[in-house]
Amino acid sequence: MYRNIKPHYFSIDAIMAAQEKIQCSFIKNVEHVDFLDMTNAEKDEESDPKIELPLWMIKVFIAGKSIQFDIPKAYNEIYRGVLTADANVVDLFKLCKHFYLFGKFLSQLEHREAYEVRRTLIQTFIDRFKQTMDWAQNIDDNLPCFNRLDCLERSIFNDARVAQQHLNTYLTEGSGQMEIAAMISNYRKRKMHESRVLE
Amino acid sequence: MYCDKVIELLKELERSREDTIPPYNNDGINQVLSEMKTLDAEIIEFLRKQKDNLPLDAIRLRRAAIERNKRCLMTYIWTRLQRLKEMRWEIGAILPSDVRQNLSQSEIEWFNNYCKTLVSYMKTIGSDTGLNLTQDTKPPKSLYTEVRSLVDAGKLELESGEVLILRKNSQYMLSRSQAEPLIRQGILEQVRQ
Repeated sequence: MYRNIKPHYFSIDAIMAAQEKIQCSFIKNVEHVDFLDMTNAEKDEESDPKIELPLWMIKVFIAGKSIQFDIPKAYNEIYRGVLTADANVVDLFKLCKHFYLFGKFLSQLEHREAYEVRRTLIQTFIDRFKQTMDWAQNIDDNLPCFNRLDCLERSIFNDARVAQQHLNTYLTEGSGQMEIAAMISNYRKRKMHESRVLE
Repeated sequence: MYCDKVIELLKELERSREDTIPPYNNDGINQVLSEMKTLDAEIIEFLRKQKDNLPLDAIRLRRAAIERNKRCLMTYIWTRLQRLKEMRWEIGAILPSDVRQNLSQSEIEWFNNYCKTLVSYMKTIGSDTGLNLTQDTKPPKSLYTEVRSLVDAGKLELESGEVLILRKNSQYMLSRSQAEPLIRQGILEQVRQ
């Protein structure tokens, strides 16, 4: 199936990326929103109250100019430094599940560091791409590596693996071989597993 | 917080394997719909109560939440339909019963309509008998092919009218067009050259 990597209206990844939380603080008072009501919470006099909201809500408040947000940990100056130094050693999935997509949405908001974030995203992708391809094509047991990839890289990785397998089959067995549909063979394996579990 | 329920729905879908369809979560969807109705009622309430000095941020947030709920619900349905559509091409017009159980009434209806549309389209193209698009997904090399039966499948009526009885582990020479659907279903296996 043709896979669309670009975020679109129906893309689950894009929706999930916009659900990532950002720490922010309000400049103006916002009334009539229950879960933002801080009057009952203990007041900390020294620091201004901070709250974590998902990205799509932040977007709403930015349009009303009533919020200020901090760049999340994965994109701040320290991590940008780490990524620039060597992007290959970072566990992106742990850092942020939708690292590239969330970063892209983030850099579209108005923030003074937006430009740097964007640049880091592109450079990180370029630096890591070679390693991703290398893993996909050459290592058989690649679960430990796979766990460190972000969602976008994972889909590239999976596509690369399938393509490599197709190429291998072609080189060893030639073309024109008819095979059981992948969906059915997976379905059977699942059934077999279920019946074994039942026993 | 707003939209938490619909995200749960999507997570459920995301967690499942891409070639399966999880059970249709009717409860979850109804909960989201009622959340949307509440939000809408709240907005109308604001507009009615205060003519000037509207709490703009609160209204905007609720509106965004409604829009987002809508988008997520549509994504839920769309993703399921994409998987269902792929099943039509991979498995064929008859779905396994446990897949069918997981579908909603309207999804079953959609699937039947999709099958009908596909069949009537395939009738209109090609020469007078139509063209089966699900056949020859890989370029064929010969008209006939040697196959081995993997199960005791029973009778198979050939295009010529002859009846063949498929026994486990015996080999046959079949026309490619007849063998291909059976190979895809896992009943036959092509003998490697």
